[in-house]
This record gives sequence, structure tokens and C-alpha cells, in this order.
Amino acid sequence: MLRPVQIEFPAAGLSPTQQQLFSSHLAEQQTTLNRLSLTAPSDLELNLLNYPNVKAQVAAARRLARGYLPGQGAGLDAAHALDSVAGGYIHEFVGFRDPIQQRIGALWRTRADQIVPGREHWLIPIFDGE
Amino acid sequence: MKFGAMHKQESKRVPGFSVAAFGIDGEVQGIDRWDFEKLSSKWLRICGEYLEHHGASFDASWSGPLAHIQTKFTSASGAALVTFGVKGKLAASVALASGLTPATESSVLKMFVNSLRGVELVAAAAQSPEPFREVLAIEERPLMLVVPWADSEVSEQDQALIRELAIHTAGAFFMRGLRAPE
Repeated sequence: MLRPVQIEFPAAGLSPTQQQLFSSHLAEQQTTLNRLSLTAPSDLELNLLNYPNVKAQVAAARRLARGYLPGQGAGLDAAHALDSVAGGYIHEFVGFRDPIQQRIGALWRTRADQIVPGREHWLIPIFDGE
Repeated sequence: MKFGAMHKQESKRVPGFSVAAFGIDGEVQGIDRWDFEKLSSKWLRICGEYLEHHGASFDASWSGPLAHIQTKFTSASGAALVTFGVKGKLAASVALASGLTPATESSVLKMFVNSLRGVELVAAAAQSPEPFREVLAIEERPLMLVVPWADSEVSEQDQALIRELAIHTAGAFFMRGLRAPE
């Protein structure tokens, strides 16, 4: 059996609470990534290939849309079960999350190429002093 | 996703309206409520006068410092389809449903959904087979549905202007109970 693919997510300067939120959201993404990778690897592969420029406009439109709401979602970000850049379905939201989850999205941009459809993945948070 | 009717008990005296905001991929970003008293009375009056001046259906620009903004408006029996544009660029699509005529509104909202699904950008962005499916499931009335398009050629300042115009136009529409001529 192949060892899981380990992908590190370094995040410096986070408070203990932020570290907990970061780890929690990363674990959520790991669960979704592994579900896709192990049960629907072709979907994951397709999502990774199809991640086009329109996604920036999708994100901008979502931010604008939330601006029409009187307070709902203020200070929170709509979070994916797995970021689109990492092969997640665009429509698969898990709700609103702390903006700390944006750090994960940013880190995925330089780590998505480590994803191997069909393999299990471990997403490992790395904090200060570890 | 099922949406409960949080504000169904408001048919006689309407203190506000619900707003459901969607991304261009057809996914709902949230549903919340605007109270009329939290809106600008000045802008409600301006938007009310704008609707009164142009009537039930029109395609017109605003005036003065808002002259670069266009609004296309079609209403019938307490429901309306509205688009806001900036210098010819589509900025936001809006549907309004007052709750006065459910059958007509259902038809208008289906038309709204079908028109959105026909947009190439929506087809490219949506991964759900039924984008905007929640539009027809939301029970709150009066209801404003809005889809901002995030065109890169529309500035953030104009996007903010459109937002205010759209919300206050919806508020004015619901407050006035505008209906198409018999």
C-alpha cells in the first residue's frame, strides 16, 4: 500500500485560537480531498485541470453578492469543503468560516501540484516552533 | 437546501424585505433581511420617484452623477425583473417578488432562472447541474434576488453604487406596491 501524500501548510504568526481554526479547516479539506481522491479520482483530476480564470470572477461575484446582505457573513468567508484550486467542486460549500481559511487557499496555490488523484493525502499544519 | 419561511407573517404591513444573494455560479451566498427603517429614506424617495417617473417597464439611465448607470426594469403583478448596467456593462441582475401574486411570481422567477442559466459565464462557472435552483425554493416574501456579475470593467465604486441603487429600488418597489397597468 502506498504511503499517503504529505503536504505541509506552514502558517506563522497565528494565535492559539487561529491555529485551532486553521487546523480545523485544514482537516475539513483533507477529509474532502481524500473522499474525492479515493472515491472519485477522475472528478478530482478533472477539477484540477478545469480550474480556469473564471474562478477569480466567481470569487469576486460571491464577495459582491454577500455585500447585498445586511450583515450576514460579515467578517466571515464562504468556505469550500476543498478549495477549488485544489480540485474541490466549486459548488461544494461548507458555510462561512473565519478569514483564516484564506491562508489555506493561498497555500494551496503553490501546493496543488502535489495532489495525486487516487492517493490518500495528509494535510499537515506547521506552526511557529514546530 | 431548504429555506424556511422566516418572515411569512407580513402580508398586511411590510416593514422590510428579504434578500437572497447569489454568485455567478448559481450558488446562494446568503439570505437575510433589510428593514425599511435601516435604509436611507432619501434614497428610497429618489428610487421611488425614478420608478414612478418611468412606469412599469422601462430601459433608462439615471441622471446627474449617476448618468452612467442604466436600469432595465420590467414589472407585472407585484413581480419585477431588473438589470443594472454601467456604461453598457452588466453589473447586477435582480428579481423582485412581492408575494402578492404567487402564480405570476413563480412564472417570473422561473424566467429569471432560465435567463441566468443561459448566460455563458454561468455555464462556465457552475458545476451544479441546476445553478440557481434555490431561487424557486425560497419562501420569504417580499423577496429580492440579486446576482452581481463582477465585471472587471465595472469599478468598485460603481459596484457599490449599484448595490445601493438596487437595494433601495427594491425597497421602493415593495413599499409602493408597484403593479403593471391592467
